[in-house]
Amino acid sequence: MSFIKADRISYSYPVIDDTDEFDTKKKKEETEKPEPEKKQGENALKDVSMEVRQGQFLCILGRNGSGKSTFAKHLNALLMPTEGTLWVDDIDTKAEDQIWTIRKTVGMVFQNPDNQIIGSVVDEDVAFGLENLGVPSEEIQKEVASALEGVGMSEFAKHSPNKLSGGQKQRVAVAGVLAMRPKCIVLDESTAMLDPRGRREVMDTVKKLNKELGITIISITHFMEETLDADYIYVMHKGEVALQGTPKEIFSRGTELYALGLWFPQIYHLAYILREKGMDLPNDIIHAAELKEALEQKKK
Amino acid sequence: MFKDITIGQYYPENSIMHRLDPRVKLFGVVVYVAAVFIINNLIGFIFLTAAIATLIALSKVPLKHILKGLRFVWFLVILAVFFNLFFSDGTIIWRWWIFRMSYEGIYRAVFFALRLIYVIVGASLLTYTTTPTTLTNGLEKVFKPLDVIHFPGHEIAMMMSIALRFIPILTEEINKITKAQLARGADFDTGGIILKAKGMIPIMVPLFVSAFRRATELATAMEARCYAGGTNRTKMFPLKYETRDKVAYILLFVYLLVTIGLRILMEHFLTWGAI
Repeated sequence: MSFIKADRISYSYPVIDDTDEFDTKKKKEETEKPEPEKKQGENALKDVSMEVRQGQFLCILGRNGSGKSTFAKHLNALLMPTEGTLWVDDIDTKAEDQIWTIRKTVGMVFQNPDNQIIGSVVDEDVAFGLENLGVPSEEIQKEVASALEGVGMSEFAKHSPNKLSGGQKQRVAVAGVLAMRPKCIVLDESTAMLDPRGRREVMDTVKKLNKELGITIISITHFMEETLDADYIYVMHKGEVALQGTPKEIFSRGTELYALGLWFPQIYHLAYILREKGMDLPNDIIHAAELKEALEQKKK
Repeated sequence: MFKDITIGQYYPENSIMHRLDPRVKLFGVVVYVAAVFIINNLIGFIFLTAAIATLIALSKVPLKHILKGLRFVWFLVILAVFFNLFFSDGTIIWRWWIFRMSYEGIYRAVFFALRLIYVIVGASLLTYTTTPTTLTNGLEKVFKPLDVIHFPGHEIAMMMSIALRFIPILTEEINKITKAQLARGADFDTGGIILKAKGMIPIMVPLFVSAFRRATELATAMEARCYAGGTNRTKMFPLKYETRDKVAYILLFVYLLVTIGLRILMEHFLTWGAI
C-alpha cells in the first residue's frame, strides 16, 4: 500500500464574489458572453493522480502556476480536493477529525524562511509544533534537541533567527517539522529564495534525513539540479501531471521539457550539445560522473 | 530614519534580571509605573532613581543602549513639556500673546518629562531583559483567570509576540522600499511637513501590502504546524517560581508601601520639596 495516494483530485480556488447589488445586473450580462480563457473557477488542479511510497525521495517539477504548490497544500490538508480523494497514510484528508494526525504525519517547509518562523529564539521555534500538540515539557526539550542535531543546528539553539543565513533559517524550519516526528516532509519551493550555498545546505540536510531516518521527502521545485538524485519525478503543467518517471526517463525527453517551461540540467545540456556536434553519447547522462566516464571511454 | 530601533528589542545577556520570572517583571512594571505617578516629592524621585539605577545595573544592559532607545520618544516628551511650560496657570512670571509661564508650570513640565522618561525606561527594561516568548508566556498566565469572562488572553499574547518578532523584519523592509522608491526618483527630504507626510505614502502602501502577504503565509505555516489556539497547549519551558522570584515579589511590595508611605508623610508633615 502506498503511503500517499492521490486519486484523480481536482481543485479550484473559491472565487470571492464581491459584486454588490447594483453591479449584479451588469455583471450577469457580461458573463453571458463567452470568455475565451481564465474563466471563473478554472481548476488549479485537474485529475491529478500520484502515488508515493514510504521512504521515497520524490520531486514535483513545474513552472510558476503549474499547480505544484496547490498540490503540496493538499498533502497536509491545508486544502482539500474539490473532486477526487487523497489518502495520507491510509487516512482520507477530508476526515476533519483526523486533520491533526495528518499534519503531524506530513510536515511542511515553505518558501520564505522569515514567514514561517514563529519563535524569537531558534529552540522556541522548533518547539512550536510540539507545544501545539500538547506534548509534555520534558519530552519537548528532548525532541527539540535531537531535531536541531538532525539538521546540524545545535550550536544555534539559543540564537535569534534574524541573525541566521537563509539556509540556516530553512534548516531551523526543517527542524521545527522534524521535531514532530513526521513520516514525510514536503518542501514547498523551500530553496527558491536561497543562494546556491544555502540551497545545497538544505538539500543535503533533507537527503540525509531521507537516508538515515527513512523520512519520505517530497520536494517541490523548479530547479532541475535538485531533482537529479530523486527516486521519481512528477512534472506538472497547467494543473495536470504532464510527465512522470525516474530522472533519466524525464530528462531524456529532451525538448519536450522545454514546452513545459523547464530546461535541461546543466550536465544533460552539455551532453546534448556534444551530441548535436556529432559526438556519440548516450541520451541519459545527467550526472557529471557519468559524462566523465562516457568521455573517457571515447578516448580509448 | 527607521534604522536600529532599539526600544522594545530583547538584549541578550545573562543577568538576574533576565532570569526572573516574567510574571514578577510584569508585576514590577505595574508597581513601578504606579510609583512614578504616586511620587510627588524630591525624596521620592531620588528613591525612584536609585531603584531604577540598581535594576539597570543588575540587568547588565548598557545605559547607552537604553538611552539610545529613548530617541524615538523625545518628540512626545517635548510636546508634553511645551504644553505644561507655556499653558499652566499659577504665579505668572512671563507672558506673551497666549503663552504664559509660571513657577508651577516649570515644575510640572520638568517632572512630567521626568515621569514620562522614567516610565519608558522602566517598561523598556522589561522587554530588554525578557524574550518575547517568555513575555508571552507570562502575559498568558497573568490573563488566565480572565478566561471565565472569555477574555482572549492567549490570542493577545500570541499577537504581541508575533508583532515583536516581525519588527526587525518589517524595519528591514521599510529600508528596502525606501531605497527602491529613492531609486525611482522619490523625494523624502524636501518640502514642508504635509509634503513629507505625503511622501510616506509610497513607502506605506507597499509595506502594508507585503505585511498582509506575510501574515497570510505565517498563518498558513502556523496551521501546518498544528496551531489551534491556546487550548491544550503545553510549553517547552513552563514558568516556575524560584526563590529569587519570591524575594522579588516581597521587595516589590515593600517598595510600593514605602512609596505610598512617603507620599502620605510628605503631604501631612512636610511642606518642602513637594511637586
